Amino acid sequence: MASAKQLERPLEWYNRYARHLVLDQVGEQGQATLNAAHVMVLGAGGLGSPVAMYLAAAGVGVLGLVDFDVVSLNNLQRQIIHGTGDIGRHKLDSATETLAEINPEVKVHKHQLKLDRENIWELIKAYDLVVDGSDNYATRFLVNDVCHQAGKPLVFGAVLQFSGQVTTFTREPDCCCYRCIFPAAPDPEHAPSCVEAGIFGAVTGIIGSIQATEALKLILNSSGNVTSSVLKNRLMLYDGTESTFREMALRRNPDCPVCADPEFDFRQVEYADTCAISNGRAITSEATVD
Amino acid sequence: MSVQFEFLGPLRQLVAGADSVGVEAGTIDEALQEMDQRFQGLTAKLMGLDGSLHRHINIYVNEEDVRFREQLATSLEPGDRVTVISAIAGG
Repeated sequence: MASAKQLERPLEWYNRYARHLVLDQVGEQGQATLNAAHVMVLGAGGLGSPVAMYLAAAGVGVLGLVDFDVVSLNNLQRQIIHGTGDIGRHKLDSATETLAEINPEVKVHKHQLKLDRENIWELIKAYDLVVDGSDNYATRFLVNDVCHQAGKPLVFGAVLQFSGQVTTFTREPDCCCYRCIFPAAPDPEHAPSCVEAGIFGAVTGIIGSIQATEALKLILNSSGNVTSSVLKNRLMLYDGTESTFREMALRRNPDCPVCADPEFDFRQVEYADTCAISNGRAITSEATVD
Repeated sequence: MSVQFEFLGPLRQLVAGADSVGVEAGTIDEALQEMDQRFQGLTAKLMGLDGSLHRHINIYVNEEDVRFREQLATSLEPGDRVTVISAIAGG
């Protein structure tokens, strides 16, 4: 993480972060570390909304938002960073305004593009960690693979219908990666899209808020002040129909095609869309490692 | 005593929305075949034509991934809790 500079801080700083500053796990040093952190948030949608809003409110210094879409009416049931007046605008413009209103001290870098293996490497280098709020398998596998290769911690979250999954890949030697859990994407006939299957909006708030908490804790842990446990090698499952949380034990797969292969290079992998919809049908699928 | 299977998230529709399904079986594979009699098409959604688990499906016996045990041949004991999940990608 970038170093936290010792600065003369205005009274407003103490006031804005007062509820953080009294926490043993944060304090002035931790808050300064948050202020110096650079976090990339993939997607300004259902998950990206609460993630970016909480990270901004917490004072994360630089937020890099990645999205290429425009706001639609059917986004607003869950994408709370946007409002009705934003329909038709680029999501990054809308999101940046909301974040500036929450905390004008936070710098927002807008990356209005679709991530691919040609552009992701340069982009990701500028950030300390990545929070994945994307909406398709191809991006999720790409981001996992690149974060592994770049040694960037990744906070994973995903939702469908009333269910959510969240975990943190810390990049420590004993930590699994996404492909250790799910080696490949489903075939299209086994992968209902968000459009077809639906998402209960508030579930994105629950999972996104946990992702934001994980990201903030990763940053604070890096300061070495007080460390707290993150979801390393633990898959948290939320079931909104039963209002239950479950946890599954994860471990590194010794045969993982990514993190168990010292020769792995994401540039050799074909990543193709899964969740994309064309004429009501999912178009092609896999993100595979040969 | 039977083993309780829970299908989470979108997979719950495979067992007609049941919270859990009780099965008397010695292995995961036997249990899935038994459940397929009750819930037609269940195994086809979880396994490929070669009889192995789809790579986007995970089965946990008492929170332990069967991929790190004996896969579908993983033995079951009375009282075990089996959880079946699928990869999801929505955001």
